[in-house]
Amino acid sequence: MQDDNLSKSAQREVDLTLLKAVARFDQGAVARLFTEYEVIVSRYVCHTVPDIGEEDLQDVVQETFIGVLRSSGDYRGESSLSTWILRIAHYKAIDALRRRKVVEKREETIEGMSSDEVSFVGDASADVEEELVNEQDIGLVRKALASLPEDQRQALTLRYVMGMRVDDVAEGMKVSRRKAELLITRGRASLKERLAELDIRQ
Amino acid sequence: MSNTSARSSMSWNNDVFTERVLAESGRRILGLSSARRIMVLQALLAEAARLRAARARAEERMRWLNGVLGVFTPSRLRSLGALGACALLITAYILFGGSRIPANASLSGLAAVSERRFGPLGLQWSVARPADALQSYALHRGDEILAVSEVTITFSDGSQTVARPGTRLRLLAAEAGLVLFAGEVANTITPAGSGEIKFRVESAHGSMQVKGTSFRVRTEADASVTEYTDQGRVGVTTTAGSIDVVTGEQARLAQGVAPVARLQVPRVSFATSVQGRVVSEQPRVPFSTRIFPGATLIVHDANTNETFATFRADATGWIEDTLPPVLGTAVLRFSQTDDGRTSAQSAPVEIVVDEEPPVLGVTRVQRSRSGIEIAGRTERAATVLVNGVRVDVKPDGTFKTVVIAADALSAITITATDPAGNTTTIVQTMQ
Repeated sequence: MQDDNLSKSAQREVDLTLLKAVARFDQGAVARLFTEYEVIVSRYVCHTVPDIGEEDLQDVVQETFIGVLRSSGDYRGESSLSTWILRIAHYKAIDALRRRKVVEKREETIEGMSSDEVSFVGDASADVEEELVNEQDIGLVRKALASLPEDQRQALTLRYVMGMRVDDVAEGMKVSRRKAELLITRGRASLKERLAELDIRQ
Repeated sequence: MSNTSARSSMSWNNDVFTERVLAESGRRILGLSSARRIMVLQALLAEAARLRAARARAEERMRWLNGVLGVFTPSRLRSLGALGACALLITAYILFGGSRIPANASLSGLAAVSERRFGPLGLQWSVARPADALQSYALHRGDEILAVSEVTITFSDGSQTVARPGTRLRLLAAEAGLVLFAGEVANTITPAGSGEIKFRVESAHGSMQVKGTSFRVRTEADASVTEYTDQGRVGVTTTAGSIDVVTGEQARLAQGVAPVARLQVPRVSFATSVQGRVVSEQPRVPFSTRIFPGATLIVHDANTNETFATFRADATGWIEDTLPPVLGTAVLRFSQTDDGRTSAQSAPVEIVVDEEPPVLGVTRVQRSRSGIEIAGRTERAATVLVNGVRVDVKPDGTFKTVVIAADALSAITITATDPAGNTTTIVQTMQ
């Protein structure tokens, strides 16, 4: 546990140093930040805006990093850098949802979505546990996730898709640890129900 | 789908399996495509550069402001009392107060702008901004501009003034137009719906009221202003009198001297002119110019000062023709003459007629693991294509490239083209 805290504190130091350089608009630091965090931002945005097209994804990722650039001077290392960046990505993704009025239409859209639409950047050749997890499973889970209330979807995305610890989920959502645990538990129950419904339909 | 459903009905009750699918769904998103990633990174780096420049400017302004405010330290203010407080208030008002009058004009280019501010009791003053790259910067009446690069001022009616680098001018406070202190401006004026044109250029030596659509004004070393029209007519006024200047004429303005319209030095255009040098593969070189309506354009041999050719302008002053055949190289000057008036001669223009195809030779053809290496030599300024692909030519005229073997099964075609457009082609057949 002590080692864990030490490595966490060391990582925060690295994050702070990087963000200080970004706050000076150092081109090398900006490029490094983008290279290190682009994939996790893309993953998060794809799960928050389930039917997002590649062009819109590019816009949201760009807006997120420009947001990071502009507020880099505000980062104090109170949460991990990835959590802090994903918080900005969340607002940008929600903005994108609002712009496209997907929030209001989501229920109808879910029915018409194909798994291809949400996995366009996925690696078709990925063979990780192919026997157990296939594209249909992933498509089904994404559809189910997309239908959950926003806070539950965000909690499950941060916890399981992004692989964050509960503490980081709480930091990322700016809620207490207990509230984060509650959202994850409720989210899992809702997801299970939704998966069962979708499975029956298919 | 049936096997998925059969398995899923049990699997979705297994939280571990669901968590694994969620994690896997994240892992399978690899981010943006390479092209989009590069586009975002470029946008990000551009934004970082912009923000850094903006911050540097803000810091510079703060340093300047602190320098000004540093004069009014608390101890100094205490020693000055009410007088110090008043001085501070007046300074702040000068810097940030007063009103500005929109001029419905915008500026693009690199320029330093002095903002004109208007206060009570008819008071006016200027606050200088450091030189900056400006895009659609809103100008106000009385603003003064020092052009660092070529600067374009666009008025709301579409009229444009293009100022050359180094030009200093001020927008008129009460009407459309400007005061030219130094440099050169080219004005293209859009008439109002009624056809009426209201645009005035003033200088220290007189004023010009446009009656046509396009005219140019410049200041010279002796502080006089020369003015001429490209199209239409311009009214020129000094304290000693006024005249109208038409297409192909220019007038020199000086205080106390009545302006006189003279023929302007012709500006002759060639299709392939580069820095005063014209290279052509045809001995008869085409050109165009606009001079005084009905005037004669005289082409002089710059070496002998003899007349090389003459051309007569039409009723609009326009000439579009070809020069008599030039053998090899000729250096020419241009002037115009009409009814006893003759303009000065233009700067010399070198005409080079090159009918010879460029020299081209292949010095090496060698098969290698990556393909077929081709090396050769041509003229210094020629461009070379090997199987349709452009190859860099070194200053000494040599070139070298590798043709992929699959593209060179039967033959390799090498083409050299000189600046006059002459070409030489070699087809290298492969064994």
